[in-house]
Amino acid sequence: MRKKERQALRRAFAAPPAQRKAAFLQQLPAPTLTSRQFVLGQTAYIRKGTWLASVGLFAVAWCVAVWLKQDVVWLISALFPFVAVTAVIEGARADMHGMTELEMAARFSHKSVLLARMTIVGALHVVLLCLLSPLCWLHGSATMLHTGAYLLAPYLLTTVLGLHTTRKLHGKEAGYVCLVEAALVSVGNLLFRVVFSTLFLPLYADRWLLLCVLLAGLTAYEYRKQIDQTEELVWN
Amino acid sequence: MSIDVEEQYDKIYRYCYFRLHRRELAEDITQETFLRFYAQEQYQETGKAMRYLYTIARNLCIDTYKKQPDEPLPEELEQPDGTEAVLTDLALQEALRQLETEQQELLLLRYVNEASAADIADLLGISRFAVYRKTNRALKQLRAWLREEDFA
Amino acid sequence: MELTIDRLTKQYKNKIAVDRVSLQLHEGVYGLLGANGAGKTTLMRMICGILKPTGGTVALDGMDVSTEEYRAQLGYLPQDFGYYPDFTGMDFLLYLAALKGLTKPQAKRRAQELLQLVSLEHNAKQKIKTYSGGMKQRLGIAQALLNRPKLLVLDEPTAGLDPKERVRFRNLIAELGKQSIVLLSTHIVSDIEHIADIVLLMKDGQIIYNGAWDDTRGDLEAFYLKEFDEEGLE
Repeated sequence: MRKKERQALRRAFAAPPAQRKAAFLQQLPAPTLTSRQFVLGQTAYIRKGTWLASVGLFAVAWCVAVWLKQDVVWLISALFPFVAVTAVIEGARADMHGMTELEMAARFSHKSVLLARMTIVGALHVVLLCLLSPLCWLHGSATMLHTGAYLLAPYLLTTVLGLHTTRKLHGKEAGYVCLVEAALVSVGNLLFRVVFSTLFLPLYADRWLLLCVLLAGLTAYEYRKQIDQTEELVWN
Repeated sequence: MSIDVEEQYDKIYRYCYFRLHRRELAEDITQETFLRFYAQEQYQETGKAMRYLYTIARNLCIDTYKKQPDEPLPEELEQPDGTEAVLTDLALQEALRQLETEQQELLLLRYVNEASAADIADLLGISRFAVYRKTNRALKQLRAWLREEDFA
Repeated sequence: MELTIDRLTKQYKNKIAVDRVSLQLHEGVYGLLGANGAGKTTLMRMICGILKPTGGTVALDGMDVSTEEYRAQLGYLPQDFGYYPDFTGMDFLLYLAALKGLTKPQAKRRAQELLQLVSLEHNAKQKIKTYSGGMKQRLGIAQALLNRPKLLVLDEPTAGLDPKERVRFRNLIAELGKQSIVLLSTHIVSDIEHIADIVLLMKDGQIIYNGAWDDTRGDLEAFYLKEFDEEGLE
């Protein structure tokens, strides 16, 4: 069927324009995004930078672990704060760029966006952690659980600091401050290791676990507060 | 159950207008079609959505006919948007009128609404093969008529 | 369709921003006029579910403001809004469309439609940072309409629009007011005079006038000035 013929047929069968379409559409319960589709859709909106940073740091950590073949838990745990900060910044993006008010008034409000994105990034990080721990453990002297704790502690600490910061500060400054915090935790961790090396003996390994639990609790608390904050415009 | 009402509205409306030749009524039936579509819970496969839509629309049109059997269908010679009809369009419309209603319906569904042969077959209660056969025959007749009138 | 606002209040530590406001709004255009600090933005934010009231309720046809169904019917343009850097006009609309629950094909279609409506179709692929103030404002108006809202809340929507854009905007709002509840706040008296069916004057957190405004009541601007004792308006 030639194009001209089809067009002619279209014209021949054309109906006078529908008058009440817009009003009808407005009334209908329009087929909309399911929650699952929404969450998946948000994956596309997580900045490439965040993926890159997480995966990149992971790759670096992997290489370090594989090449050095020694107890590299500490080096890797120094990288983890930066991984953490990518998650925090991802969550603060709307805020940093002034989109919060718009997002809050939408059907899948800002809160859902945040939850969706943080969950996705968080899941990624958990996977990374699970992949790195065995590797570190292989060459280290501690048990798997303790290795995990050594890696997790700086991550959680950075997260707690970051979440607190993004609650108090707004705009792009918040992002910069978080980066600085990550750097501090990272360096601090290394220094700590050197200066207080006794604290890293197996003797104290359990304290690290405890520390992790504590930090995890604080993280949950900070998360909660951040989510609460999304329900209401707190600053003016 | 995710048909895009916005997209399908025009198609169903065009179909109803073809069958009823009356704008208001066609739009009423179109809206009723969608409302009934949403009211039914059974069909979950999106693949069959268009089929159901057309079936509902068709049945509603037939019922409307039955209610008003004495009303003559108005001749619509003027282009719907009031512009001057192109000469070839007039000829085409005249040619279309020479075809059987079912043939016109096939051409509308297949080439203007771009419905699938499977959906059309289900709607008209014929086989897919019959759809192809009848559609081609309709086209042939149409082209023959146009050539005869020397307007092609 | 009715938006029922019942004794809505917002109280801060040392100030009452919105003081037991009660309104029933129906289809049409409502112009909210008031000085800075009168409570307009606070009121609007509560109507949009962005700010939690200290007292009172807001409901649209029975749906409470805190529900997702309410927000599904809502379109909001804040006084000031940002955008993710590097977003183009189209990206922005598609992103918000997803948040409003539109599927991808719906979103694309709606975005195209609206970009045309606000005359931004040629700028859709450009980054928002290159937009002029008026263009950004028009984009803001477009995003508010993505989900065909029954309730449209616009905070200072004409700010930054040139006179021609303003006229187009007025026509658009008048059209929308036929089927939806449109609440817009502005400092520009002539906007209110031209398109609002009902004028709501707000002072110190209260609505001091609620009704149509016709010439028999005299000059709206004069009344406004008298009430608010200001230097002058546009």
